[in-house]
Amino acid sequence: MKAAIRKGHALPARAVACSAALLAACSPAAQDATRASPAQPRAAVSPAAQVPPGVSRFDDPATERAVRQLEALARPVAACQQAMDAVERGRADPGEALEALCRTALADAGDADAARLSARYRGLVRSSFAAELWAVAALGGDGAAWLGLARHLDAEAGPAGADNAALDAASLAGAQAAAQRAVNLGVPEAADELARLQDREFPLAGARLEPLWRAIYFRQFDRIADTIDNRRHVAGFTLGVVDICSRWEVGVRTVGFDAALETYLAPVRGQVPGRVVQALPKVGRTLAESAAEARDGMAGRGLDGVIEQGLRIYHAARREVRNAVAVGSSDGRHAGQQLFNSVQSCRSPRGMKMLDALGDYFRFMHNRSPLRPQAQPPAPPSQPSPGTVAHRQE
Amino acid sequence: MADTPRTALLATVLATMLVCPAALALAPAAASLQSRATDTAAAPAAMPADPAGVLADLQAGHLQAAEAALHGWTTAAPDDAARRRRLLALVQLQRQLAARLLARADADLQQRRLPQAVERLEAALALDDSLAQPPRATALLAARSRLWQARDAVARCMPPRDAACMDQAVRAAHALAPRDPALALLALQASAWWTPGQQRRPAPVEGTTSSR
Repeated sequence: MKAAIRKGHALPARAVACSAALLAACSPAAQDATRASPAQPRAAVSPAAQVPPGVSRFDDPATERAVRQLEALARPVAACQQAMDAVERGRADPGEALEALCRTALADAGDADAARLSARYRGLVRSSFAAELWAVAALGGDGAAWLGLARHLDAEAGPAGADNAALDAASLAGAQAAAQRAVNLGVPEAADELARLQDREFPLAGARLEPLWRAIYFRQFDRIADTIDNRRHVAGFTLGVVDICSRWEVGVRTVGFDAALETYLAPVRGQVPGRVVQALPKVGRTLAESAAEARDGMAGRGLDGVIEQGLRIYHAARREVRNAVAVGSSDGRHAGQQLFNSVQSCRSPRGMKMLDALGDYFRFMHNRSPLRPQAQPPAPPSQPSPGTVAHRQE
Repeated sequence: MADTPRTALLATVLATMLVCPAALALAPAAASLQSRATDTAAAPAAMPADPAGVLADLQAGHLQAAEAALHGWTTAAPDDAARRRRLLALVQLQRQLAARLLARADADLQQRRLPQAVERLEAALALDDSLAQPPRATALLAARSRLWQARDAVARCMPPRDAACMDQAVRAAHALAPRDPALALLALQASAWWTPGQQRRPAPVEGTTSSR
């Protein structure tokens, strides 16, 4: 990769004669202007060194210009600085020629010169080389350079205001990671920048329960309260998104992911008997109504019929509760479908990121249980119903 | 045998130059071929001045070819001789700068600053590609290929988003160059799915299909 980059730059980078960046300088008008005032700096990437007296000029202006640019290599740092002057004044484009010249200058410069040159270059140019210079500065202990790198990568991810599905996910992730480093180092403005970058990426803006999805997406798991309700929302979300994903994209749902999900859901499923008990008053009410009906003339059915009907109602309630728990909350499901609509594909970077984050969240929650609140010392024995996976370790 | 086409080519170039000034545009390319041919010849034959060809060689770092071409120039006018001296001075300038950078690259390598050494080696080779010939830069070239291989190994883990591969490759690259900016950038870009040193392989959960 690097080899390709460097091989690519070696020849054209130094081909300063008439590159696209210098077309203006190569136009006849520019050449005439040059001829008229040879002492003026030109709109070339490398500035013109003065021709020493007694040295013959070349007849062809392009040749003369190229020779002078090569002669400027006698002082590479000054040549790079002057080339950047030209770019800053809008008289040349930052291109491969500038990069090659400044690479040479940086290689030749002493530490102080190199730091100055690098700072100016990376402020002026957006390129992979400039990103590398930001990284050099950041690794060298300059905290603000992490923020600079974050902004650089953010700009590389795509123009401001672009549809966030069109952004380059890796660059955006890199920008966030760099901004996070800046935040950790206490760089001013870094926290705002990080929040902005996260808003730029987050695919579920405006969804119901957005803070929950945001915390999962950005892996701030410790911000999520571990409650049965949250587990149901997350379960609904996961099942919603995974249903669509596995329907459209075979292989997205892995054995490991399913296992983690099952383990995560186990305490929720363990709630089923409890919820059924909660539903019992309703069952009792219905049963009492049936009994009253029976008394009011449906004598043929007798007590057996009433009990049978009661059991039927009880089982219906139990099934309802179990289904509600198994499929998770409908808010969660909706958000899961919204995620799929937003990222288009679970295999898209942001879709994969959410699925990865969910898997991590399940692992993060491994061995934790909302059924072990400190307030109730004798924990209710969670009877794993058939087909349910329980924590064996508990 | 080999001389015949070369002479014919030279004659053609000269003829077209006499006949049509517009054909001058073609001349540098042809003469550049010629300069490469003289590179291999023992004694360079006299030939017309071709600054564009020499400049192309200089810009590509082919200092030996540029120098050989310059020595073969016929310099009728005093101006021509002066221009040749100017270009020869350029060859010297590039050669000295390249040598200086290579010496600093050696020093970097001895101080185990691999990325800087490779950066300086690259800059030196861009100025004078003959430095790549053994044995001058053998150690540096080997170091460069080690660094590139380490970076490539990391880059290969990224499309499949393989965290275990990433852990291993980054550890190896860190051992080689602890503060490699290219590696830092790769790691940042993988941050959506990879956290250094975090075992992402889930422990199999008993009683589920993953524990089979």
